[in-house]
Amino acid sequence: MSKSHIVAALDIGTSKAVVLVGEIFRGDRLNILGVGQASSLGVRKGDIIDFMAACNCAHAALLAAEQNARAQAEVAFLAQSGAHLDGFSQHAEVAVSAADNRVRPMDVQRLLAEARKKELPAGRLAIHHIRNSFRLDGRPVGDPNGQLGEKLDLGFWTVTGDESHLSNAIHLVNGYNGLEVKDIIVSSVASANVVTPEMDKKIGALVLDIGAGITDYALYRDGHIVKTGVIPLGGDHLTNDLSLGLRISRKHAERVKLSFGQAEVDAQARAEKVWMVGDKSVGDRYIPRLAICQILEARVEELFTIVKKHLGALLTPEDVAGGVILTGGTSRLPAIERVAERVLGLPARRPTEPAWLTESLRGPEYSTAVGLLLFALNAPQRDNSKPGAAGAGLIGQMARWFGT
Amino acid sequence: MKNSLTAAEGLRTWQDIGQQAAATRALSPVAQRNRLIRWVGTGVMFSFAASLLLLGAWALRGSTTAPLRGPTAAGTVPAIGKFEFVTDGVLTEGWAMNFLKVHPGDALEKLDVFALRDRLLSSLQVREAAVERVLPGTLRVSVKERKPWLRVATSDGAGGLRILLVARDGTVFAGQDYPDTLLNQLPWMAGMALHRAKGGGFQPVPGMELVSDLLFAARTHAPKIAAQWTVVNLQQFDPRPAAPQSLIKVQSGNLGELTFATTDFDTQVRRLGFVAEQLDAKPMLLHGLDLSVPNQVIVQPAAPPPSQVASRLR
Repeated sequence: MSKSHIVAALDIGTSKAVVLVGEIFRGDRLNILGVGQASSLGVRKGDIIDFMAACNCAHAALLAAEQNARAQAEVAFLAQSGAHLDGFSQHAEVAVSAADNRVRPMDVQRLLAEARKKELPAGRLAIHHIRNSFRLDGRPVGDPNGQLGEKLDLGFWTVTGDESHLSNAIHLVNGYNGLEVKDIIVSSVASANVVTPEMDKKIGALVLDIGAGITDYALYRDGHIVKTGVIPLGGDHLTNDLSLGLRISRKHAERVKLSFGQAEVDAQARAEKVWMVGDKSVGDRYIPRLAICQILEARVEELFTIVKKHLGALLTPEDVAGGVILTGGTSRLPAIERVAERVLGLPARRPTEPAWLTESLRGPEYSTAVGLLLFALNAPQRDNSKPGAAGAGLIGQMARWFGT
Repeated sequence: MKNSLTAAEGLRTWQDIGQQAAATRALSPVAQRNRLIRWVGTGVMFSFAASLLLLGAWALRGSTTAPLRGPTAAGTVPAIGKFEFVTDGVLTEGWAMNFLKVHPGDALEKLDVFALRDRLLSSLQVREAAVERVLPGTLRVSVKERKPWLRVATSDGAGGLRILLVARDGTVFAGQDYPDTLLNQLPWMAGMALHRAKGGGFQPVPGMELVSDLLFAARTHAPKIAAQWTVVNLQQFDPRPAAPQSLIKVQSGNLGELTFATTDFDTQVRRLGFVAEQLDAKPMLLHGLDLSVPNQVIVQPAAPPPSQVASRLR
């Protein structure tokens, strides 16, 4: 096994494709070598609707990242999002069999087998099968072996995706010089892994990754993800609303959103008027900022309301003491965290990006790709013992010089 | 290959989708460029290593074949085909060949260039010498000679006189190949005895550098006057630098006896030149000029002829 592996983290979003190329050194160190981006085409609400267009964008981003890194990726880690994703919870419980009520490994094996007894519908494939914490007589335990109790139960959160969508995404990556997809990670899981502190994972936290086309969420409880989901609402909908509400073009609506947008109406917004274009050209006009903020607030409120509806009883202040963490490009919208607090009834904040990240990668739009690299770091290392692979030692080294 | 969050056996997962990943990936443009750089680098490295090996082999071959060209290999011994003699003086190629006893056709390998050099240096006229074998058949001899500043007449031990020359460093040597015109221009040295050296010849004349400085200053600033100098008398000369009462007396053909102190020759010679100009304008018979006194020149007129003295008395 060689000392380092070059991996690519690929996040094909609705607005842009982001690729990070990193080096996993000795399986315990990560160097981010290069970044590549390309405007996304052929992707709507996270789903690939034009395969060739999406291929071109993703491959352009991969090429840019490899050129930036001056290295060729060996495998790819792919983020997956879109309305085709779904999830379900599986729950199993067994009675502790021993007379002394101490949990034996046999009990744990029975529990795991019980929890897996579920067939997927045709055309659905599992992406994640996330084990939650064991519960012994209703209380969470780390390792139940040897502990006293009568009833042992366990939950799994299984994320599934549509087979054709997943196949398209995999073949898109394979089309880049035969690049292999090593793992598929759901976007919300990847970004949540980066932006959520370990303590918040334990006390419970909701991570909302608000992208351009969709919003992914992941709910942590007792240190485990208990629910993920996708809401087909994102920053593009805000732009559309502005375009329709103010009767301006999408291009100008996007500019107005980015320059003057705010998720909440405040006193300053009520009094202010802003130029639509700003260069006083023909067609340029004043727009009351109040209108902008009202439109955005309504849509953002709707988004959080849907989130609240999705999570239902899971979203209690007691179970989500860590609050709501907002990430993704649309989370840059001013005052969005105040709306989240008001609607969800939980403290909301933007994440503190990891200090080890370079300044240029600390934006919320990179959190998913960085999360993928963290998964790559923790993934089992690739086996190099396949036939024909260059071996170690001098001959292997010389063979590698010649690219064989 | 299961992702880190998946432990589902029995469930159909995304890994069930057949990938079209290549076992050996086609090279991306980046990898192609990297491979090209690696190939070029490797090529350069191998070329360099091959060059070093070839160079080493050539050097080894040269060292192993060298004895074949030595005296043991009959017919292959290089001989002196050309004798090059380079000098900054007057010695000739003929003198060198006679002195060194080398002749065209002598085996070049047999010559001991260090012994030849020592032999050259035994001629006191030669200050520095170098002897080189330039293969295939050239013996190159380069010398730098001592320049004579004074001449001195000594007994040749057979009742005759022998003319020797004195160099700037005091070396007394028998001049070879100097033209008579040059020798006749040299002043004689007087007033200092020569002492014989143990190995033959004479011990160097002490303080000759100071005397040479005076002669050089005179030839530079007053060449016409210097050309009239016939004898340099060192009887009152103290060779120690800046020694008090140290005088150099020069017998001049037209200005009588010139007395110089042993410091600041340039000033004394310029003053001499000035006085000589004045005397040209108002000719007078001189006994000599004393230039050793600071800031002045003592002009010593010649004594009038006895006939003129007698007429005055009358």
